[in-house]
Amino acid sequence: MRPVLLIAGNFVREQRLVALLLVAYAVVASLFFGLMRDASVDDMAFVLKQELIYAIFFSGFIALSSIYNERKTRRLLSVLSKAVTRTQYIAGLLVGVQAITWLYCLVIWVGGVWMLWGRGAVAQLTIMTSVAMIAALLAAAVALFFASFLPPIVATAAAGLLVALPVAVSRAAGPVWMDSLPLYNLGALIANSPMGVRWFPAWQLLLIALLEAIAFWLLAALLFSTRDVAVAVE
Amino acid sequence: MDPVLQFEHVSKWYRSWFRERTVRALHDFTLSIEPGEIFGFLGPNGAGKTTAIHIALGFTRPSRGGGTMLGRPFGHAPTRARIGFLAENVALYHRPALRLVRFYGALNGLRDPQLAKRAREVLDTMELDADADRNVGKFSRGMLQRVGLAQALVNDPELLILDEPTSALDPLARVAIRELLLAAKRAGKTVFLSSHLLSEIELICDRVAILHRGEIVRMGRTSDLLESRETLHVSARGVPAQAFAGAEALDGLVRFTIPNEQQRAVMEKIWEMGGEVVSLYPEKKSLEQVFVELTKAEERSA
Repeated sequence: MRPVLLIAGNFVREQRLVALLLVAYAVVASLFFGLMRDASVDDMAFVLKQELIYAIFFSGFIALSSIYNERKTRRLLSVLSKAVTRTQYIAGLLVGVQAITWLYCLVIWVGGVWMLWGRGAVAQLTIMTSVAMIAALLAAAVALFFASFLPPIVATAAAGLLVALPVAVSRAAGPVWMDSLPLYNLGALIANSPMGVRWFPAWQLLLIALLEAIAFWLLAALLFSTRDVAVAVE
Repeated sequence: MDPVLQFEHVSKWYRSWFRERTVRALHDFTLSIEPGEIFGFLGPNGAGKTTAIHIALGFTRPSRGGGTMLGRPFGHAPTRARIGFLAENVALYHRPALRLVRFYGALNGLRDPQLAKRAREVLDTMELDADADRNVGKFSRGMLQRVGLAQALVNDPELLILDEPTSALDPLARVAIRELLLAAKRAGKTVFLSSHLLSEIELICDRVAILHRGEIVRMGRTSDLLESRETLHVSARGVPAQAFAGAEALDGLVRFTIPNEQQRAVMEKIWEMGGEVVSLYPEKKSLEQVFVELTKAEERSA
């Protein structure tokens, strides 16, 4: 576990500018809408939902270029020359990406609590934030899977296609297929969740997302362990 | 004793995307590194030296063959905690030197207070103690190389694998690294040293292998490699220099070189002339000469 945390901490440090920008964006957005006197709960909820959905995208995009950057700078070799397995390395990147996106989600949640305080929507915001965090984890795992063997641009296209696949299949074969890779569904869940009433998403969906995140991490590690990491990338 | 590093019939080739072009990096490469030796690994650019090192560390998989490092198959992660590696063109994270060395030490399982002690020690050894809190992003290439060596040494490795460790260092730093490697050998460590600096290799390596186009073209003890089997140096007294082709007279001695097969005839000639043979020894070549001769001969035969 220690190598995973060390690699994750190092990743966060390397991406500190990105993390800082995300946090700054979340803080500024919260301040802007929180200080608007005439903003309704629905207006604020719209902004918060949008910010939480961004977390899923950010998570995927940060993960997509992570391996490529390490290989390009050849810093990967100095890490993998130590007692670190490729599985631990991929896990470290996944934890690092999550540390950044979950920090972003946490800042949104804190801003949201401040914005919605006394308006009876904090519990719903907490659930929405949790859903966004799980979806961000799955997005990062899918992105890392493709990034383990494809260059970033191709990996982005491949990940986009895979995420869209359940939507296409469900149109032909029924809505149950939407849950086969529930990234789109989790995003839709955040976007459509009601703020004023007690609501909880289907736990099965969250469980599928968590299990698939683990599966994609293991697949990424398996594929990455067969890669020649010393070959220069262009 | 079991070899510290062993390559067994390793071949490696790289194929382009549609397999229309194949580049052979190593071919049936077999090599054993014994415990406690400093082994020099030489070859022109593209000979396959770095590929061999990368296979040993598990960065690259061999196309054929395999091997062991400290008794475990190549790529075994826990074994890497017992080795130190410095890559060619060292690339490190931009953070203060001390923190960086601590990071790499921690990845190898070191913990405080041992980690803190070792990190300070290796930076001191590399004469970077005054710069320990400076970000390595602002270091010169030579300083970066020294930090690279520090991170390779922080876990007190049994086997040091160094790919061009002194390429960016000034002469003083090179001497220091040479001393460090000799001290490591005295402490029972094994050093696998790939370098273009033939004079360095000649000075410190017990054995040398010369690699060309993915194959070992010569391997042996450094002293044996440098000794010519074709030419002998002769010093004689009491004979005229003109009697031998290319001879020079100095301080009462006549010195010249002869082909090995003429040894007996030349001795007899000196004695017949009433002279005395003072010394007769094989011509000693520099490693550079051996290297250039071998690689040129290989180029011609290719």
